[in-house]
Amino acid sequence: MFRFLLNRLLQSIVALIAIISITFFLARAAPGGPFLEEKAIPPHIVKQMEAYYGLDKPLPVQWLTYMGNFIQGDLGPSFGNKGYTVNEVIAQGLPVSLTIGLGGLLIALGIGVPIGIIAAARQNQFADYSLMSLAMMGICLPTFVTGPLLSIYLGIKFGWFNATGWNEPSDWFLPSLTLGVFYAAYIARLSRGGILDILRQDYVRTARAKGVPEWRIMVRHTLRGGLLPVVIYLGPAISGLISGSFIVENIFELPGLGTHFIVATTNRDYTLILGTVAVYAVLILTMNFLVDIAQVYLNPRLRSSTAPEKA
Amino acid sequence: MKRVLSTFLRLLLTVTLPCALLACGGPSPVEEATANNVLLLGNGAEPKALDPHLVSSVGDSNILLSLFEGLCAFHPSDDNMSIPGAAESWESNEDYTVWTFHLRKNGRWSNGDPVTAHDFVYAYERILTPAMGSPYSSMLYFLKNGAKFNQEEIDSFDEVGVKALDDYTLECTLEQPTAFFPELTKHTTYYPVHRATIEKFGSMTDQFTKWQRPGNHVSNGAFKLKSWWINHSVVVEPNPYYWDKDTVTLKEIHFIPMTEFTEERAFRAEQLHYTYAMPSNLIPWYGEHYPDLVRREPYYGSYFYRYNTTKPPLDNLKLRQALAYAIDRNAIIDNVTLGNQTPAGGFTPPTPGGYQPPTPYSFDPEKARQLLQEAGYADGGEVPEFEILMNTHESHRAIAEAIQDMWRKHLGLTNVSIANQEWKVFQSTIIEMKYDVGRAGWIGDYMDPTTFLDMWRTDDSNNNTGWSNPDYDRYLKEAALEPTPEARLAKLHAAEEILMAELPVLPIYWYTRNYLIHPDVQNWNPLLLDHHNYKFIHLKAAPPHPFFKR
Amino acid sequence: MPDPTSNTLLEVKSLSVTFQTEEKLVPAVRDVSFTVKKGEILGLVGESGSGKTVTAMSIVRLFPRPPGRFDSGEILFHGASQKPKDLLKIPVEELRKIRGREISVIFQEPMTALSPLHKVGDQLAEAVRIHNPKVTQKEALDTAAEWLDKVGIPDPRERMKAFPYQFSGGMRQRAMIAMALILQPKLIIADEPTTALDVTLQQQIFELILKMKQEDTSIVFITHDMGVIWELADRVLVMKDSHIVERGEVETLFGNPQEAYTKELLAAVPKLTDPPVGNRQYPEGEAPLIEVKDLKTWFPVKSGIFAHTVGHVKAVDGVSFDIFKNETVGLVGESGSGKTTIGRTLLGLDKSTEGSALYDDKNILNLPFKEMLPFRRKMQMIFQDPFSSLNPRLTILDILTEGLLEHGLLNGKDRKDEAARWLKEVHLDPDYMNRYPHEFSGGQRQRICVARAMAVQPEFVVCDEAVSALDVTIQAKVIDLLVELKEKFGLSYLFISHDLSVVKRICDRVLVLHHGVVVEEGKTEDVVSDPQHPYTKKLISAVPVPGDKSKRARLEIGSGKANGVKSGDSSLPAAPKSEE
Repeated sequence: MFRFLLNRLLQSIVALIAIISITFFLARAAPGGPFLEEKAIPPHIVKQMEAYYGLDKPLPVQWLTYMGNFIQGDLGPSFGNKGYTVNEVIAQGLPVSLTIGLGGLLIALGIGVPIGIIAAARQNQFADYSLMSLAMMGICLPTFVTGPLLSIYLGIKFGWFNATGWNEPSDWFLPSLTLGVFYAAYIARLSRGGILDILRQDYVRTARAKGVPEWRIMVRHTLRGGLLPVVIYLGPAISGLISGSFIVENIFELPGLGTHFIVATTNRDYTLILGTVAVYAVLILTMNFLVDIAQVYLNPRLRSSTAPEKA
Repeated sequence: MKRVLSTFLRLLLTVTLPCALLACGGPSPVEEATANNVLLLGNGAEPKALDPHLVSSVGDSNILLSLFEGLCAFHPSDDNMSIPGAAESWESNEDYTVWTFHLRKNGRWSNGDPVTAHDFVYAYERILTPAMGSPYSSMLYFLKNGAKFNQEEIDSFDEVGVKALDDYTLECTLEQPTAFFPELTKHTTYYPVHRATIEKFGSMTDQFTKWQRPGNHVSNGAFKLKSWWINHSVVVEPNPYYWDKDTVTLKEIHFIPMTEFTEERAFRAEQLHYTYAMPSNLIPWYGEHYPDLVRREPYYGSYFYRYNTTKPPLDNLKLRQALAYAIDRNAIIDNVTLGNQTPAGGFTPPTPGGYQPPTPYSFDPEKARQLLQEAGYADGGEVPEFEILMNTHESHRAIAEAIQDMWRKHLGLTNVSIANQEWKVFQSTIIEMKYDVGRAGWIGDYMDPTTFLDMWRTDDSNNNTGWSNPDYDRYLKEAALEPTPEARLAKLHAAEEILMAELPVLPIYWYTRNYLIHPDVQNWNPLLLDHHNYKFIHLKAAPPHPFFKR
Repeated sequence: MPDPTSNTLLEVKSLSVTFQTEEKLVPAVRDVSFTVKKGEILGLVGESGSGKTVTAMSIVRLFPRPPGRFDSGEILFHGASQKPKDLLKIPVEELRKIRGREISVIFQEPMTALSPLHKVGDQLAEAVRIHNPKVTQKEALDTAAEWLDKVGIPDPRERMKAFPYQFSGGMRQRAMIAMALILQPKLIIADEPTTALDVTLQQQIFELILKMKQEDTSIVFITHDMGVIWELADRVLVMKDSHIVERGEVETLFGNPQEAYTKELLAAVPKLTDPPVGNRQYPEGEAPLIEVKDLKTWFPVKSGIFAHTVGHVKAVDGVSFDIFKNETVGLVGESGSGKTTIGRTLLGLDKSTEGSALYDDKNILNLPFKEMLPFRRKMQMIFQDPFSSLNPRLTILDILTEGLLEHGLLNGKDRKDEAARWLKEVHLDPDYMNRYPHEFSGGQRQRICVARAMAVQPEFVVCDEAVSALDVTIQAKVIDLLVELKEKFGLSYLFISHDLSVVKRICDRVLVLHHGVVVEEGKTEDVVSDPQHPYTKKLISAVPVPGDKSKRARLEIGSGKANGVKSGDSSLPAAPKSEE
């Protein structure tokens, strides 16, 4: 177990360094630069600014400097937000993104899993068909459609929530719902499939033969195994929730990392691009790491890495 | 099973309902804001800085307008008027080359320090110091030796034409006669900065210091910085030491970065008093149903295409002219942009009661075809392939497609393609002149035609067309020396006629600002430059408007 | 109405069941009637698809997929209540109270029938507590330990804290049986409970079942093996094509079968006395095709946080043998004896620890991939499970020609001809080549596996339990096919099986493997007729033989009730600590 975790940790670190380096060079390879404005800045001024930020040095030197600072946790000054370090910009944006991401995850699970359970328990009946059609719709609708729709109906028409922005305690709900609905649909399908798969297992038949009531079969014998696909999916889902927040934060004008990342990209704010990518990468790697652990917990077979494979 | 589910549903409801009820019970954000004298403004993009020497975009300067005050200040309703700002009065010598500003004795920074002439000298030295790398330092080239100092041709700032005669008298010596110099002092680049604050957080030329932070920021305008949350809002509150603080009624202004689509939604949900822009397709609808909420005002800006005159086929003047005559600008405005823009027969937008540009290019397909013949093409199909390049945006594409269609219809051009590039990529393509026809827009910085005409001088960094004409350069120089404003404008007119005759640009329309504004906002007047002096704006709860249903 | 004082426990009357598949309705059970008496073992025999499992599972209304539907009939159960209940009509909740407490089920698959996520003890305790809500978990676990002890699981207090995957197959089946017995039901439905087990283990389970019978429990025993019926059952029902074709007392029916199908079933049971299929080959003076010397394959056992090797599982521990051209060598042993590992090591699927295997004067053990390539064509393998060894997404055409294309023995044009040829060789219709594996029965699939192995024209084929999963009649046919192909192409087989009677049919020579070493070897006839090693003797005596009076001896004692075996007396030998 420990060895496995150590292994994954090392893998994650290597992945992180690779991601940052690739992003570093990709960002630099993109045409344009942070000091290119519609009203042109005279070249001698651009030179001064490049010198100020160290952009005049050879690229490998810049990369080494950056990595050196990165290891010490210093993500450098933001080019686009004068006077703010990237650490500070991220410190402002991360809680917002995490709130809506976590909210989205809870909504996705809170809606998806029960729907999946109901559909599986009523397989091939009306409830199953109608819920699964609903889920299919949820999957087909991209967030840039559901987001504005929710904003217009729940925000403007009914006035239950603010249509945009990040000002009141309830403002997490619409963005999280937008994010969550898509994944709820997916999770509903996954959990239905997973549960049906388990319901077909011999040991469920054994439980029935023992006289175990149906609800207990669902809760005790089916859910843990049946939700395993959902747990495995949580890794990609969390990555999706995070990258989905690019769009959703934009739709709702939230001051989160996704917005920072998009603005940074259009501004060629190199340090902020790298900083946000690094944070995303760390988040995603951590989540996958946690999902690995959860998987081991849910499947006792994986717990002992010592059992020899039977020949 | 059922029991488990119903428990779950009940739990879900108990968690979400109170949130919903909390949100919908009370007054709308705008109602609440009006009651508290808080102005909620949509402001386009997130500001890059709150340092007057580092900003260059329109949204950034809107915020600086509230925080700082130049020697002269903006009049609430007249672009051509300069009202006293940090200076109580000013005068110039006869040929407008030396200007003397008399600062008010009761001018105060937001920390209580007096605003003195030395603050201005320090600010001008800072923006012109090469190491500062100020993107907009060229605005100060009006000062004698300003350009030379900025471009490191001279070392001593003493030679630059600005001097504090005493604590409250500032003398500016200019490169050439400039009758509209007071106009310039309203621009953000001419604002003073607080030396002690800047040097407390770094050296004079440090771009990256914490002096711009809430709590550190010191300004001399009607407002001071209260908070800055990146990509969320910049909030300013009244400067308690401001000399005219009794005029200020707003308790806060929130500058909120938003795209036009979100802004419109936020406006409908009564979360904004004012939108910076609006989706063009909604302009007619608002105009028809709620004309009191939508404003459509001329704006001092020009939408045009650059021609790359250095390579075929657009090095051919007759072809460039033919293309200009073949565009039905009214049709574009009526069917595509929908915002009451003015068809641009010339380049510089006209100033009411002031400069009137030459406008030779109206829609004339007959003449266009004739010019095409003269250009050496019997038929539009013979014109070699070229491309309209723009930065990625739906509205730009729609205009380009309309123009492409008109050229095909009226001239038979079949080889015109359209391409778009991401903003920064687009800009580097334009600067490197790797385009054929390139979209452009230009917003005037101050109320004078030179803010448009200067860019077409030989080697101006904004030219990017490869076009150059010595007569044009000479006319611009001579215009400055003309003894009367009328004669000066006549000279500029003559210069612009050269520009129109040789046509390195294809004028399309002059901007209109279309935006939504809440009835609560008072004294928000149409301004050609759109520079609002926020101390004159106030809020008064208007009767409930049918548009806002909640 | 039956006489209430009679000893009838269950009456099945005119039961008909239909399966609803996606395309059509398939009759699964047609008009089946029978009774089960108290304290009786009723054998239900038939091949897969005959409807025997569906019939038995109807009693507790537990169907495999696809969903079934009762068309008619009733199943009267004379349980605890005064009046018999029709198990087909009572509400689910009422049925649930009967399941486990009055009627319990022992399933065939010990690997999958226990929940992998819960500890064995908890699974047993659950059965107790569901029917006796007042019992505490601790008391239930005590009961569980007691029953695990009774079925011969050593150290039950500790072992019941383990998860099923930590149990060997035999232990799992014991646990399954303990779970079925724990509430001392009146009727036990046992669905092929020993089919997946080694013969010696099977004997132990038989003992257990006979002990239940002594306690007046009735058992419906489902099997495809007439030999098992002979050893165990009082009466037998023979099922074919969804209905009962013959029924009667076991000895009567075996002595004088009426139906042709019953006769066929009896004949197909592999017996040690069967004559060999084809001619025995005893090559002499030739050089062997493969010469295995002192083969050892050990698997490291890793432990600790850095997973260092703390010991080895000596799966194969010094085995030497030769295989000659055109010869079939049998490898017999129970699971864990190392027989499969020998096959896998020869084919390079496992790494050997020591020893050599000379083939064409080259040691083929642990060869690098490239050097192994030519041998990969010459050596093929046929696996036990025809369901999982065929890729469900490839057509038969693709499956048959994949290897040929891989080895460059075929160009795309001749694919169809080649596939058709091989389908004919294994007696399948060449038109089948465009179908997918799921469209075939188990026997047909195993023929496809044979065709796939033969298509690359190997010299040597490892058959790993190649016929063990098949019904007896089909088993015989596949053996015939293998022998036919061997003689046609001059092949050599290494035939791995736990079933001595099958080995007897096909193998020229046999090696008996026990704990990774060969304990006896020789010509098949010699080993079977005159075994030397006690382990070989044990293996031979455990083979069920229909008609052998001595094999029914225990049964007579059991039903005679004269024997003083006390209730709850653990007369079973304990399961070995490790059956791996």
